[in-house]
Amino acid sequence: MSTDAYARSGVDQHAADRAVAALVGVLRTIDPGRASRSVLGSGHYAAVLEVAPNLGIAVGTDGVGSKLILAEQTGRYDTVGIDCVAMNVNDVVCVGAEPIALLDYLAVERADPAVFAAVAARGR
Amino acid sequence: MNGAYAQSGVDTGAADRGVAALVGVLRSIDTGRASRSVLPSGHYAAVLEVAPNLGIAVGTDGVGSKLIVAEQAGRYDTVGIDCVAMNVNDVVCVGAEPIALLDYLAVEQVDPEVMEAIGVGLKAGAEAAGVEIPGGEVAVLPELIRGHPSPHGFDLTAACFGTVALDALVTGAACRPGDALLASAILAVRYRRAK
Repeated sequence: MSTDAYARSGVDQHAADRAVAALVGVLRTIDPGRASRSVLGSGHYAAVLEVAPNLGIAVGTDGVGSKLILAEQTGRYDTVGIDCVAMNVNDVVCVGAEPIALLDYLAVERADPAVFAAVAARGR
Repeated sequence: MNGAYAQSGVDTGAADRGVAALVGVLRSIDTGRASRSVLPSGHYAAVLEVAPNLGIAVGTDGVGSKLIVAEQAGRYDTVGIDCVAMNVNDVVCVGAEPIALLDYLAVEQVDPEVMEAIGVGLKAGAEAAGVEIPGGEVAVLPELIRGHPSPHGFDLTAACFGTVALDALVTGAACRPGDALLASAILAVRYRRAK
């Protein structure tokens, strides 16, 4: 998507870049009071934390984003979960890690058991 | 209490059924290999075995409707503390030491000052808890996020990671009458219910 297309959909890419820089600029100064476990600099798709000799845990977080609007408009909720998993495992494999687990976070306007079950289902 | 939730537009009965429907499917996931999970459901954090006697405790939580107070007050430098607290509190419940947290921030519009303030809160919370924040995600979703007031809406959640020796897991199984009780996060949760 071009910067113009983002702008037409209400997203100002330059403002977004400045805002992310403002947030990350603060987070980068965090002093946890002990040695950092991170073994990679920023700019990778996943962070890697050393948890034992020669063993790292690769961690990443991502969401489905505005593609969810299509699911809402079509009333089809059994495929967005595939996208959600893919976005996340794709990030973790980028550093050479084997993905083993995923935690989902689902915020809804209204609780609908049928929709919840569809979101969880593997929509083949 | 259920009456108070209902008045604020949350049907806890429907929510419970919705979560049960979701979890019922997720519980049937077949990964094609042996599970790494060492705890059954019902704990505040999941624990994955990654090496002999070494588990990674993982949990995810968000600030939730308390964000509305931040939006209405125009004060954004404290919700990050709450976000970190909600997450590390879950991970320590299984006896793990939290080591890191990833934040996920979805915003209705981007405002560098607001996002810096959110970062200040996350930093304060992370330093108090002794965790680092080596990554995260920012999503600009004007069609999905609607603030109180708009366009200042946002959602702030995180995932927390900790380490735990598997022979030192806290599951509650060793609880006995007369044990001391430690509580955490009472103020925030009481506020959420009071709302």
